Amino acid sequence: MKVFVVLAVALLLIFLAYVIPSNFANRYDFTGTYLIGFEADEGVFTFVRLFLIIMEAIWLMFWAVFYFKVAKDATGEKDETTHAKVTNFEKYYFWGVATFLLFLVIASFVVPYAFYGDKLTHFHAPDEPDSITVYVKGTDGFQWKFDTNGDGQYDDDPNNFFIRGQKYRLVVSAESFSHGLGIYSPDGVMRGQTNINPGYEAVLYHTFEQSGTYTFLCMEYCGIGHHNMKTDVIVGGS
Amino acid sequence: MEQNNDLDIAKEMSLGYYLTGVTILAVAALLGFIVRLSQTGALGNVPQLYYTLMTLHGMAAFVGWGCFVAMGLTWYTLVKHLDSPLHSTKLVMFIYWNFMVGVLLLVVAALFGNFGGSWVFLYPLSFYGYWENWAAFMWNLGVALAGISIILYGVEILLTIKKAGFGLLDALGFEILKPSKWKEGEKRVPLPIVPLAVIGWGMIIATLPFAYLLVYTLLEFMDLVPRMDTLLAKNMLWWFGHPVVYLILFPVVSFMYSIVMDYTGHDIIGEKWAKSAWFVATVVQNFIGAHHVYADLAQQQWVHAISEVGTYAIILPSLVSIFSITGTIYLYKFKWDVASSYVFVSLTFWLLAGMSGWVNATIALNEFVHNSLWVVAHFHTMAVLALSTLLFGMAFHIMDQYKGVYSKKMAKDALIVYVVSGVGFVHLWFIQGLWGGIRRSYRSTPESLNLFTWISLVFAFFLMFGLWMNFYNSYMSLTQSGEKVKEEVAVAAD
Repeated sequence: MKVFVVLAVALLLIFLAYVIPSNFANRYDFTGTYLIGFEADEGVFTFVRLFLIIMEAIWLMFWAVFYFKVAKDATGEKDETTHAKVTNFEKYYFWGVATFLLFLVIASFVVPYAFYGDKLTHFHAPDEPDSITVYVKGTDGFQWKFDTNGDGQYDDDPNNFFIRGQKYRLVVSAESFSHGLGIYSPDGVMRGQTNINPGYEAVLYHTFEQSGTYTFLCMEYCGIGHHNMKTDVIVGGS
Repeated sequence: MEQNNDLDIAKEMSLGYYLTGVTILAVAALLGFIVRLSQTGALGNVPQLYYTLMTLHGMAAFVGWGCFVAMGLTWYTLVKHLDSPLHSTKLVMFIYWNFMVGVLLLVVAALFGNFGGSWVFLYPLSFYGYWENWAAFMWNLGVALAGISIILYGVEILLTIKKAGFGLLDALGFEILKPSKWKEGEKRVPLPIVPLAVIGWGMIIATLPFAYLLVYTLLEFMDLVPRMDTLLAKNMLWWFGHPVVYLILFPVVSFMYSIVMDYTGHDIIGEKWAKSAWFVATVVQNFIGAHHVYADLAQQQWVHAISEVGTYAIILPSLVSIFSITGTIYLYKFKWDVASSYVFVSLTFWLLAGMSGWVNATIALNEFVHNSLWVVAHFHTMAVLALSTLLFGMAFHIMDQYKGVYSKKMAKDALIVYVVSGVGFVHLWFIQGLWGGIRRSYRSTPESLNLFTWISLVFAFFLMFGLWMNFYNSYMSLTQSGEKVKEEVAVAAD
């Protein structure tokens, strides 16, 4: 009985875990097409939440029922009839595993790629002609520095350089140790990210969908000033 | 008679590892609570404290508790199911003490040198922190010593299997390719041994490049070698850093097989299927760590692709094992006790953790959860609710048979406290992760997520309390105090 109560509480907590952010989403009117992460939209969040709620609910309920059945049956002798049951179980073994794997493959590839595939950063062409190139560097002083004109000097003021609706090709580098560039929109949602290691350049395409103050945060732990590594960038409306 | 002695020796060693590990966990839990508390700002402006304790907590809980105890409980499982002694008890003791020296170096580096590079101390961060160079050197050396113990652990497993008269390839799942092995009455490698062989082999392969990276870093401290390629270093780290999770998971599956076999009195059903899955694990386990580098857009696409396929393939052993264990429990008369309750809970959360891991593994979804607290939530679901639960269960199972009188009521109560608080704790991280909350950040980032950090403290406290209950229970049982309790119980029974 105790185990059942525990699982019921766990189920409730899990349910709340996914419902609460959904309510937050409604409150902040995240119902339109916003870009989240690597240009995937809010629908991906909804998909992940719903999928996990359903999976976790089914799984926990299954275990609760299973526990009661097994615990109940454990009081009786089963060994005399188990041989036939084992044979039967093994007969369906392959199909049970295969069905689950098939479901996983469909969920993994069909759903996200079919709906968001062309928006994913990993599928961008190396060069996109309609984009403007900007160089961004993570410095040892826990700051993001910008070179907007390609002169190799990371001393340009990015404020009001970026324009809403324009696609940018951000060439990201790091000075001495690794960083992760995360772009957060004015409403505080992460819209795109890339990790970067010293000696390399990572190319991240990004379109600013809103005007206002974006924040460039560091996503990869880079030392004791990691949490201070944030640079505000004003994006112009036109 | 000799066999009993061998088993007793193995139990003694396993419980010795366990008692050490659970003591480390008790401390790690406290560190974890302080880390979470400091994120709220309640302790003032203490970033250095946060990053240092975060680093120590991660290493203590993951390596000092999880890996070390999984290694320790392996000794009992090997001897029990191989019906043969360990290859070398001296080597097992060396592994223990070498590991402990490594742990000591890590503690000194963190507490006295303020090393705070996180438990992955991403190259070349060791050279650029707000900590002393000697501390970074000592940290790298400490991890290198632990790595040596892990390699020797793999060697000891394989040699013990060989000593028992089984073929190493058979133990790695290749048995499925030999039809003659599947005739009635043929002697086959016991199923609980297979995951141990797979991880023994896997750890040798995984740790060697990482050991090279650590040694290179130590040489770099001494200005003997130039700077290494940073992306290569990152891949070398995760070549080891992901499979090392299996250093806990695969033995845990082995222990689960063992406990269920004991509690049903039957072999695990679907042996051939299970061994087929472990065969897959043998092949792919070392090719999937690159999924930790998905967000590195400088990495070649084909590496991402291989990593994604490999990560899906590694689901197979988990899936088949859950299927087999569930079926075995369902079909046979199952004895419900402390250990079996822990198995049940572990099974429940194993797949849940796997599902959140599936989100991380899928590039299309990983793109917006990478580097977020979602990953932390996934990891802790696996480590706290699935793996640690089973490690406790296995330890109680051995204690049931061997030494010490532990309180079964306290063990069951601890499980309830542990599960409820653990579920609440990890799911607040899931929420923060879905909202773009950054991991390993001293302040809740974005700051709007700080409310969830405050709420999580309640769960963190009870989670710590549940762990301490098991620590107290185990300590009283396995030390002098436990012996006294045992005598008192015996007297009362008379």
